[in-house]
Amino acid sequence: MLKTLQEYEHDLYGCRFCPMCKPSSEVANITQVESHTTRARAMMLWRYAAGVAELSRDEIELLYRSTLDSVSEAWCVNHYPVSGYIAAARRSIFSQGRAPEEVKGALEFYTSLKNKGDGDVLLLACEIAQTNEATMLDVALSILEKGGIRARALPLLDGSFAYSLGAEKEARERTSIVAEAIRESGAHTVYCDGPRTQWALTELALILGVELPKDIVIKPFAEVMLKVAQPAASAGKVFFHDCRSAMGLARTLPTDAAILPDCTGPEEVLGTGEVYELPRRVLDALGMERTFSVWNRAMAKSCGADDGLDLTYPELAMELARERIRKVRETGAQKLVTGSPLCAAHMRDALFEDKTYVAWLAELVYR
Amino acid sequence: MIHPFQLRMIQTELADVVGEAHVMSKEADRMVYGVDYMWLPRMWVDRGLIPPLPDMVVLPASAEELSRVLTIANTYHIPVTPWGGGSGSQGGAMPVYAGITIDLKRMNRIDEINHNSQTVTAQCGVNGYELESTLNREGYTLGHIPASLHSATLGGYMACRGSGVLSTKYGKIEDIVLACQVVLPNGDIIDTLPLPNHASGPGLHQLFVGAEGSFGIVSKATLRIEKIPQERRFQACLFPSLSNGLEAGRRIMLERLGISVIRLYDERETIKQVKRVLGISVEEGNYMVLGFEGRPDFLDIQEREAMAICEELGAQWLDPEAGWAWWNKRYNFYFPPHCLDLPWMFGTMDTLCTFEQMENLYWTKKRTLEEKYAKWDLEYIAHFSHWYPYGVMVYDRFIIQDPPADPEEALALHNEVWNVAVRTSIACGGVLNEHHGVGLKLARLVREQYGPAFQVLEGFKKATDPVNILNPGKMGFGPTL
Repeated sequence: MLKTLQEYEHDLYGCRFCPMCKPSSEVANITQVESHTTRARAMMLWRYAAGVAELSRDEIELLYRSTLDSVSEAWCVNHYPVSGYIAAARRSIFSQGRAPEEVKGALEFYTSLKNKGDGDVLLLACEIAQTNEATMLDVALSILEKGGIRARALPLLDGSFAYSLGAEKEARERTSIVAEAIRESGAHTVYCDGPRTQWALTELALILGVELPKDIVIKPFAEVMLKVAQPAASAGKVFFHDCRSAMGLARTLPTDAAILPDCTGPEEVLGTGEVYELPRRVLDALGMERTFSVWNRAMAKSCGADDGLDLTYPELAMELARERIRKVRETGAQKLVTGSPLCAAHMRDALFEDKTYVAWLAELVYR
Repeated sequence: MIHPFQLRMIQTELADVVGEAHVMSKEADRMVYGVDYMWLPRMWVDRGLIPPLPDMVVLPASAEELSRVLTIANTYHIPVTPWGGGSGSQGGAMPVYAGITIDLKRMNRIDEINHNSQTVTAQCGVNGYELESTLNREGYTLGHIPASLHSATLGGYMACRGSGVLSTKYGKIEDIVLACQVVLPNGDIIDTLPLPNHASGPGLHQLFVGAEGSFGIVSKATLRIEKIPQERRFQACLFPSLSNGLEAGRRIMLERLGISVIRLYDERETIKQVKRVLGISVEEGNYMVLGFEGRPDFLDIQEREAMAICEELGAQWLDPEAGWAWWNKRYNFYFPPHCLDLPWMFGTMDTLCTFEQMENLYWTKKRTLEEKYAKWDLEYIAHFSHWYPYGVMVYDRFIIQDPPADPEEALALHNEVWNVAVRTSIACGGVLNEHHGVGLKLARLVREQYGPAFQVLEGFKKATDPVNILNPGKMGFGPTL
């Protein structure tokens, strides 16, 4: 199921000299360095895949000083598999033992959160686990309770960042641990705390060949939020930030209208799917007006906490977060709201002041 | 040649100006700066070779930092190659004498949008898409919307005298620029006069627009902007012959109707590209798109008159959706797999001439190239996309699907085809190039194009850049002294 980098050679051939996805380059648009663009990485990886050159230590670092760049994949009118080939390259490098020390360090990350609550339903809190913020667990459990659901929270690390860093074996092990925990719990319904958790449980498990317990029903936590959301006292203009991982659950990717400089929507040109619609319905139920940016839905730029970047190169991840917040402020939003607890925690950490600018959707529902 | 030890010393001096994080010497960082959108360096990489690379890359954040960097380069006689988006097709950003590549993208501020005079002032490193999107949000457009919008910078637009898809109405970049700030090789920061239409001596800014960084590096520019049109319309048709299509375009332009787009495709390109990318099934004929934008009452007149001219010349109207399809998908042609790419050899040989000369130029060039390179199965396709009050440009391309595998042989064939193509253009009344620039690709032909007039450019070069640090090897100039 997992392709080798050589199997992406044809795609790399197409990307290696193409400059068209420059506006979507997350890191390059902060550093302005050409070697940080998708084109530069594609050229580098093509030379490696085609056997022209080995990857030097510096090139390996370039490979990892980035997310998987799935936003460029979304941007490309033909959706070339950028994240696929970057992930494949990392698997190749990791398997040779050549991944940077920062990657090895990231894989040692652990959560300090413990299981909480009791019930027949599970709240799989993989994103919250990575934040180490116990209050987020409390908020989530309270919302579930308000929705008439007694749930047990499992803050486990899923296999997603290990997968993104190229550590295939570790990714499979962690996903198996999650699957086993679900099996042992006997639960039939699992709510996922955020889009990344849901992607890891549904899509990544399949990719890695990890079998989940039969007959479990996997649901997004936003479903319960929608049930209990009430109009907020002081509604204002908010920007809803979509987690990058949500693209893995999208029904459709952006149309070619999204790359036109005068694109002002409708939002659906940026991608469709319940992963995008459901949290927006929650905001509607809260009575919140949303601002628009073309960099959203499947084209959302990373907050920095994607693909393990917050664990490998945290300073770079913080710069991505600050840039994301800066761009959101330009839309006129008085608040940035996200359905991902990990995105919320990370972006809050990036703010020097007024940390209330960023909120996890559940926190607005909880209030 | 500078000893690596000395390069390291100079790197320290540069880091002092821009900060250590903005001076890069690792090959991993320098590699991409050896390849712009020209076919040759791409082919070079494709064949497993390394193109010319800079010794280091420097990213200044302001005109002041740029000035200090150039002063250092001038002191040590280090070649300097400016780099914007790296999307130029002529090799203008290739550092063929190594030295320093100056990546200007940190200089990306939009300083002012002036609503009273409808102008914008921005630094040269601003990305085209960012500039246009920002203007759109304020209700304006630059009117300059090239295919390279997403990757090119404002400085790049100006360096090559670029053209956008709406140039027929709004002009090329040299028509839109009002003034610029330039950093000279000796470090002086100069400003051209604030407005272009004066009687205060020659138009100084036009000496830098189109000079591809050979005389100075543009750090900032002021340009006129347009209100986003109230309405935009398209019509699309097929002409029975290219001649009829060209005549229709000529008459439309001579009537000074002020329409925004005339795009006429020769039959080969109609069948090949239009069908493939736009999904419009056409077996014969010459496809034309007409675009109109502005006030609805003006558009009524423009549209009526233009369509009447076309009908007189046998135009068969297609659904206007065909025109909208081109407009809405105009960038799709440049994404893989639709864009021209290796392993094919190809090039865009655009040129411009008067209306009365164009048909002869087109057929002469087509016949000459297809006959001379018949053994390579050279294919010639063309469209006519930028129209002027006095003439039209042809955006013609050659394609060789099976070029030599050996890189030296491929380079030799490539250069030979270009020599023949450009000399044919010039012999038929055309120019070296219409909107992609000279770069490295055509540098050897500049003296031929200008004849004795080249001494004027040479004199200006000697005055502004006596050591020849700026973009050596381009524009017909030699290496750094």
